[in-house]
Amino acid sequence: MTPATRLSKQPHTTGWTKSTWRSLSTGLIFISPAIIGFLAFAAWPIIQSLYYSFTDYNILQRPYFTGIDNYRNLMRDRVYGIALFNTLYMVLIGLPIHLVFDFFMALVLSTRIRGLSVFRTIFYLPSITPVVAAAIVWLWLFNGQYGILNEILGWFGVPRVGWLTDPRFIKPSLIFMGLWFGGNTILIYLAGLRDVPVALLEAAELDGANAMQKMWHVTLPMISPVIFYTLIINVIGYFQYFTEAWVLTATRDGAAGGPLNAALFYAMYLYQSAFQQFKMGYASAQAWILFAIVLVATAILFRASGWVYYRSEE
Amino acid sequence: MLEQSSRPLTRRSFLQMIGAGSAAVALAACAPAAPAPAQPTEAAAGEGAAPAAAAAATLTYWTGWSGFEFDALQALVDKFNAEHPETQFTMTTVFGQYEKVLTAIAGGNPPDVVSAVWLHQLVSMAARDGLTPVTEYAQRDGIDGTGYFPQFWDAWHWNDQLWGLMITSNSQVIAYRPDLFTEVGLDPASPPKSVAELDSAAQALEVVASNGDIERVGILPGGMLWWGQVFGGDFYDDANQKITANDSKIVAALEWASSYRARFGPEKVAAFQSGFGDYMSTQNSFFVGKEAMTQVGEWFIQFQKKFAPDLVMEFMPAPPPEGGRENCTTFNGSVFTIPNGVKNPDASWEFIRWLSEDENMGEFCFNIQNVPPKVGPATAERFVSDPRFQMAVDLLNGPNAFGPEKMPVNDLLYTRLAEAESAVFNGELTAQAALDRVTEEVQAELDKVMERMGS
Repeated sequence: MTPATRLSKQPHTTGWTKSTWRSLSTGLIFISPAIIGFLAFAAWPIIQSLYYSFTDYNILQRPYFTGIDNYRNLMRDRVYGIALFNTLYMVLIGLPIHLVFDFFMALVLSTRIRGLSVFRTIFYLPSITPVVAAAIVWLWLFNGQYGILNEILGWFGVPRVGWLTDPRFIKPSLIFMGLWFGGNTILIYLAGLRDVPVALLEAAELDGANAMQKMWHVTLPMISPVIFYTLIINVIGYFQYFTEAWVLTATRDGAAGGPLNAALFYAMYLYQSAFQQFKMGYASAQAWILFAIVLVATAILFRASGWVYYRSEE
Repeated sequence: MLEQSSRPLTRRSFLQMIGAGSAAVALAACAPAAPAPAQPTEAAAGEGAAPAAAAAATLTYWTGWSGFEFDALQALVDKFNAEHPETQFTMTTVFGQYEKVLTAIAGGNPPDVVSAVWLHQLVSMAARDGLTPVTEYAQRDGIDGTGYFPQFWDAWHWNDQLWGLMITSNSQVIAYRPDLFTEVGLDPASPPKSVAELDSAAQALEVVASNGDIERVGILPGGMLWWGQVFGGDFYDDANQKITANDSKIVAALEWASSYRARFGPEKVAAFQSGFGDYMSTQNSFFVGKEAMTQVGEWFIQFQKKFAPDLVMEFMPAPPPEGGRENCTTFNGSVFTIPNGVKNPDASWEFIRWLSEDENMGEFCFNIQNVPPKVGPATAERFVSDPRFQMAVDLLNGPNAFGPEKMPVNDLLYTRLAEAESAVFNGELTAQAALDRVTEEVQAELDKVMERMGS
């Protein structure tokens, strides 16, 4: 008899028998490495960071309790404001572009054309490239003088653009580069598109729906749960935007964020506060605010998810 | 015994073990390292005798040098290891000075010697208990500053303690290309002596395409830490612990540097700079002729020898404006320090002391063309036979050689200054407004750190 069945057969007795306890503890022992790992390396540091967020803490000396000073100072911190703005820019502008582009690519890749699997592979390849390595390649594409982007612009007589050195262009450049990493989202959309019942599409066609109407009234509602899923995952991901921007803007002396801090994102400022400026408490406070922001953003998305259509299981 | 071993572990003892284990892991992860400050061991006063270590002890040294400079230092470390069979040092490059070093110290597992600490970070590391003072070691071994350039010896002291030694230093100069000077009709034998002369030379050297794209600049002045002092300004009032980054002379320096961007248009400069190749390579913008003059240190001699061996390059001091400082240079450098919590500080010190010997220091400095911080090696014939090197040494020896301010928030000051430059260069703020902001923000942080240190 397995522990599960034993438990379910005696749900309302006064207490667990000795043997139930035994099997429970046996189970716990077997999963203890995971539990201990979680407690020691995830739960405990998270709790600690909440405490540190109320202290002045430089890692080397004892934390000094300062109440809500860190949170209050953050509200007045100009650079923090810039980082928050840049991050929201990516979430509100970069993310929709990213999702629409990926959806469009998935549509194209779901058509029946020759060599389709080759194209799919090509579009997925960037996703298995290490981000840092790929970003360094992009550093060359964005290069003001030797970069291919400016070279192409030059053919049309457009003057050179400082993709990563001009504060006006740096965030759009990052969004542009981000499109290249869309393989995973494209793959999810592809799977979703595969799942749209052909019968419904045919029925719509018989009723005289054109391609646009089929897309709007059949395909989109049917894959709306998939879109919702990618939206949530990417909102969270974009709030933590770090690696690409760091690699593309890091300077020789360890600073990053680009000209006028135009590419300084939340996670980057958090990292700088923690590991470059000795302000672990300040960074912890930022982390908790970010957590709250992401939590609220996700909650709002769920609240506003009336447009998501879930097929009933019948 | 047999009985016992055949019996399975009881649940209670197993859970106890696990509980104790997880508690230990949690504690190990969180416990701050609070080791007692190191004292020199008397026994070790004799020539490098390490009585406790029977077998050769392997010690770690973290450096900030990389590339060919790393190789040059490795040769020296090999020599140390050969001379000290009982102490073997291995060397690793760490980038991001604080990130790794700090966390290693906090984690209780620091490297035995670190030189990935910039001079401008020394006070902030020392003030936060990150370093072991070496005052007593130096006294024991008779190192009292004799032979060093006086401003260096002073720069390593804070709170009446000596916190480390440098074996290299640097001096800021402007490198220029005589070939390009000749090309535009300037006399390469008499480089600009004043800011006004620099301006006209730079404009003569500029090449701009018909669509406004910059092909070559005379110079793109930047870095207010230097220019601010060249213009006669000061960043810090030590007596009153006041940040003075909005000194009117520093404001003037920033306005002047900004005029170079305004002339081309900041977006043109941005596009131009984004075309610069890797600095430490043959694609360096100065070597390929995109900059006719560039701000460097004497170490650039070695870069030129390595990456542009056929190029003729000369140095000049920064030309001051009227009322500015003649022959002004700033210096910084990597300080060899002993982190707090090392297990064998005697061996760490021996490594630093040995590297600081005239011969060893001179050897490394010569191979990477840095100025040795000691007068003797620095004025050796092999160095000063190169007039460019002689100029760097003279500048350091002169009255207008400035090191970093001895205060614990230099990192923030430097970050904020760089931001201010960026804001002014891009036309977002006036120089006055940008530097007012730097002053205010850095002062607020300094006050906080000082208050905490006092408490």
